[in-house]
Amino acid sequence: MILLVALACALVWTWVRGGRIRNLQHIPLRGLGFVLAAFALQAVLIYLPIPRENRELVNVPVLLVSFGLLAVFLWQNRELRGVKLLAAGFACNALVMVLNGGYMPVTYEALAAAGKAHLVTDASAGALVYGSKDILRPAAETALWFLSDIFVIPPPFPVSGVFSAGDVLIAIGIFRLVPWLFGAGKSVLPGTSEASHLL
Amino acid sequence: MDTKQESKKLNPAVVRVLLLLAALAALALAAGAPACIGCF
Repeated sequence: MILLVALACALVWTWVRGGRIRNLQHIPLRGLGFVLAAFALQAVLIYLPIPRENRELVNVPVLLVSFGLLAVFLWQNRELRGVKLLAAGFACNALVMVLNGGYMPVTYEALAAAGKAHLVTDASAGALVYGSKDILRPAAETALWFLSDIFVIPPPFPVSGVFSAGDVLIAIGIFRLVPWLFGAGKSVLPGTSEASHLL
Repeated sequence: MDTKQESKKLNPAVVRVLLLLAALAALALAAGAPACIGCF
């Protein structure tokens, strides 16, 4: 939800800065199918119950395919504003997830501080966090702990949750990309040669 | 016939925006990894 809220805020920010739908003459993003396929694969991974003993066997290969699709999409669009930040955030998340068995590690303490303890069935290491790519893991047993979900937005903030440094980079990338797509703060259209100096 | 007429009414700009928003949401959800319900 946190990143969808960031997207919604970026749309509002775009409108405030003068971005309009009529400025979107075409979608300059290439390879949209790659990102939709990557999303679909991850949705299957998250909502399909995989037995604990088979998790690494299934999770890591599917996740790698999904990450590969995302990487192709980001590479194809690397020249667009904000995409390099998006790619950096994605790389941080992907790296820590691959090194930790295909899931994003989070400590029970961080989850509880965000008021999300009800999303796990128990507090033991290895428990999956419902509706997310997260898995409970103590900080001491987490590879690249500083890139895992360590930042907490506690209640009573309406969008409470736990997120990573990679998520922050992705949110900033969205805030750079979306206004540019809708022509906010400039008089030339995205995707035209006149816009190239704004990249 | 009715379906044909309905499809003609779809504004290409609206379709474009909806497709773009769907792609951006999918990108944020697939690349990001926060821990909160329904947010991947």
